Amino acid sequence: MMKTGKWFVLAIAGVLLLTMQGISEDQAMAAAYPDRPITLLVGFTPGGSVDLSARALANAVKKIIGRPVVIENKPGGTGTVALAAMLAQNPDGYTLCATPSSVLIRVPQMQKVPFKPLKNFKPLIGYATPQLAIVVRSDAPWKSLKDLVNDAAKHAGNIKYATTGVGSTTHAAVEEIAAKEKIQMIHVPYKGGSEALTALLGGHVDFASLTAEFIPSLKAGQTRLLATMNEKRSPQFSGTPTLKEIGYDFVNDAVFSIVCPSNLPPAVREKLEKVFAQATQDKEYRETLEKIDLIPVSYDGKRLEGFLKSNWEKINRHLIATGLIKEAATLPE
Amino acid sequence: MEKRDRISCVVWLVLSFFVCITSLHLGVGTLHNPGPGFILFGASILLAIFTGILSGIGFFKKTKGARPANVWKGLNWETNLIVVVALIAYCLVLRKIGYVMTTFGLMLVLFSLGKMKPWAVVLGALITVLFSYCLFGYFLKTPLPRGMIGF
Amino acid sequence: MDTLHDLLYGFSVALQPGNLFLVFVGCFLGTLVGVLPGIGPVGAISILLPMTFQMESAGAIIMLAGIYYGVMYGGSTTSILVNVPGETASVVTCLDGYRMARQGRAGPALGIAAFSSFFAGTIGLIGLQLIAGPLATIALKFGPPEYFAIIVLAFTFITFLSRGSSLKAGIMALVGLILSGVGLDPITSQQRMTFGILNLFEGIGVAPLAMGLFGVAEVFNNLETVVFKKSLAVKIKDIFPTRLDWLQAKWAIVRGTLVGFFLGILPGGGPVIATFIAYGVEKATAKNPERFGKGAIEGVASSESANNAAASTSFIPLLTLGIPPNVVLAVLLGTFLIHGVLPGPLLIKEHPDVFWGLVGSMYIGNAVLLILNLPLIPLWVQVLKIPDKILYPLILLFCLIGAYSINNNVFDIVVMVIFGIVGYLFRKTDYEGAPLIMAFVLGPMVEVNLRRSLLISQGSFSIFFTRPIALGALLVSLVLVIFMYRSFRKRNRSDHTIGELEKTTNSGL
Repeated sequence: MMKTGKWFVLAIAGVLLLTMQGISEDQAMAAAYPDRPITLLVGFTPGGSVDLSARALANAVKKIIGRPVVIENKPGGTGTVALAAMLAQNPDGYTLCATPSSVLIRVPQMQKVPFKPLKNFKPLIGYATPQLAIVVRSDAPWKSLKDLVNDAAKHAGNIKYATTGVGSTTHAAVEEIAAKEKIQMIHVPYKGGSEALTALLGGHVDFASLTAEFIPSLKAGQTRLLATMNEKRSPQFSGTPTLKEIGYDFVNDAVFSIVCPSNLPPAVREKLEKVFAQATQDKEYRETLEKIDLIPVSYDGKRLEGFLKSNWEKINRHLIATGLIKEAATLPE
Repeated sequence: MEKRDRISCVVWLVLSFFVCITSLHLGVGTLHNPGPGFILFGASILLAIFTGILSGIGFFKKTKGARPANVWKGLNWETNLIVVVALIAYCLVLRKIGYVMTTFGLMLVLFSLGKMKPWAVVLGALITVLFSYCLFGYFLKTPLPRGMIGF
Repeated sequence: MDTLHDLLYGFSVALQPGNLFLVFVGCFLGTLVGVLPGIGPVGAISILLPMTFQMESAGAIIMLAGIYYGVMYGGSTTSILVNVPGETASVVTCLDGYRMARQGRAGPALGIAAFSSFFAGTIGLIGLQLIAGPLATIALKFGPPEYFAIIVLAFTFITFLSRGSSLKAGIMALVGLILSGVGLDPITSQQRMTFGILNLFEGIGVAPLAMGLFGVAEVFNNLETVVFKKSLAVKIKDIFPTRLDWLQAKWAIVRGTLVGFFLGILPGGGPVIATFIAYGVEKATAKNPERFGKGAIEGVASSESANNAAASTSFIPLLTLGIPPNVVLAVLLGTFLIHGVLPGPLLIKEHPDVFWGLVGSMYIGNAVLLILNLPLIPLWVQVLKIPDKILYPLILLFCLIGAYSINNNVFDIVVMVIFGIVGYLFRKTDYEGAPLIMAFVLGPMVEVNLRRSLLISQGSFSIFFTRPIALGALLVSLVLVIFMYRSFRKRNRSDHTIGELEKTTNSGL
């Protein structure tokens, strides 16, 4: 009896020791983290608003941790290639991904993707929401979205538009318009806003649904703004109506986020959450956001996770109601 | 037709068959809306056609004069076999055992192929490993695999 | 005058002390990589890329570009002195360069190589500077059909210009195209041929693929050669070529420069092919072609000017269209992206510091290479004195670390080793790696642009025939295919020597 008890105690002590060591190792790793550059993957082409904001944020993080944060663009599959690429790397906190929340929500519902968006990833922070807009070239005949829609109704299947990818928010907005007006337009997906903008300027599409990357061309007089897509009008372009004002049930709800693989050690994740939250206070970063017309928001990991869950349900109901999908193409978890 | 060409043709046909099946499975799509298998389907068909022409020519062409020299002749290809096996083993255990030990083993194998004296092999492998570890792991901060022992 | 102003701005960027130092580093490393067989610019750029993370974008690109054109110089030195081309672009230089060295004229051979390289590189740069701007403006008008047609043209060129059988080159290009399809679909995010392997979702990496097919395969090739003797007993004197040498070589330099200039711009062209064509042109136009292969100075001058002119002008398609014309520039494209610079029609406008800084640095780099290299020749010869049994294991190790450091992932090593074996088997069966890797690089572009074109045209192929640029490119491709068919029917075994030589010394791209 005595013997068993002794072994029992020893075993408990051993387990305790092991777990303690486990904890301390985990903490030691978190304390030493990061001891080399962190890679931040971006699923769109350089020069787009996700890319530019991620670069600004990476710079701010670098100031805090004293290690470079390297942006690596892996455009393709509407941002899913970068997310999949992150899962292929060691979950050690040295590979993270900057992505609009729509890539986790809308894209997986429209397309079958090779991951479970709400299970494989943990959001660290949501830092901004983009200004989305429908833009035409300045020599285009349409002065308002109404003109464009009327024209598209008259010439079914003749109007071509560029977006940042199949299932992206920019695509969803146009689908919404098309579904409501029962018109047919041709969707030409690109791998990022900068590519889509080049296609618009080159005259290969008639209009483009873009994030903030249209602003320089607008200021240069090359493009004209027909509508924005947020809840309220953009202070910078207060003369332009929102889609909601025009009468379409569409409000941009994409949040630019930093996500990590869900099996990252908790201590490292907590550290990262803190670092990124601190980075969003950086002055230079804030100025950049303003320049590229992004609206700063601050979601911490937990709140963003909740938002993603409810957003998934909401978008799912909406997409089914509009008849765009019958059911979500990918399971969330 | 040379034997090596025959073998390569078979390999290409198998590849083209596999890709063709895969592309049909992925969905070739329509011309209006080409699917993910569109290009792959086209490539696999073209590959089959090219291979067909290549083997056809080889079949009908009269064998001219001397047979081509055996490409393996006079070469110690066994060396390469050892290197290949060593490299495969390297890939398998690198993460588990760590950079320093694994690379030391690999360099021992590679240097001993050069028929150097045993002490020179060991010394060479040691110097190479330490130097490369310092240069990449320490100076350039490449996170070389650490393995169980920690280096 | 505008261009001059821009160029001065470029020099002001390139001449900043930090950047100037980086030009030196890039050129020096490029030459070293050029000297060493088996390790090519792809591996070198992959290893050094992490180092540039902390640098300004212009500086990083300046340094890594220096490796690319510096290689052309290093390769020629060893070609001439020891008949070992460190790079494929210097294979042709061996033919006459080594002969000259054997005849005791190593000095003039090195001299003419350096001067013709400098001349051709500079002319290529003037072209880059003059053509890039206007072309970028036109390129904005290029839509998916135009891109598709241009890349199809590139595919045709790759097969047309290949050394061996066009049929085999075509097969290689198709295999490359198929390999580029591995990963998530660029438009619909579906898995393609990934076998559920996470690492394959983003596709096979171009750097491990290239390092395997060229670097590792080269090591295999050399390890099995029982005797691999080098003769190093060459005395170098009189670097400066004589008046007679100049007279003999001057038109060869001009012709080589022209050939390199135009083949560099063509996607699918590039320095390697340019040297072969230039040498062929020289031989065809010479009064007494039997001198070639026996130490004709024209042979050295033409191939060295061709590869350097092509190295300069091959930046044109990359910087204006975003199409990398060869695999090194495809890897360099990755560098541009990491530093937030998207090569394409808007590059010059949006990142003038990068574009003009790069052009300025290349002028300086060419001069640096000329000055740096002649006195450093003894050093490079020393590097080559390392016995093979030590050199090749070391090169293999560099390849391993290079592949690993791309993503800090063992998977890339596995990919490299697999393609090393595949590349070795290709050599045994007379298949070339170059068309495969080019098709692999261009594959995603051809796919996306074809699919976009068909979306725009609603499934009608007329879109490719109603737009002049697309139609023109496709017509040229057709003409090339007809040519190939005809030359195929009356194929004789010309270019025998070059073919043989390349087979034995096909090192990293």
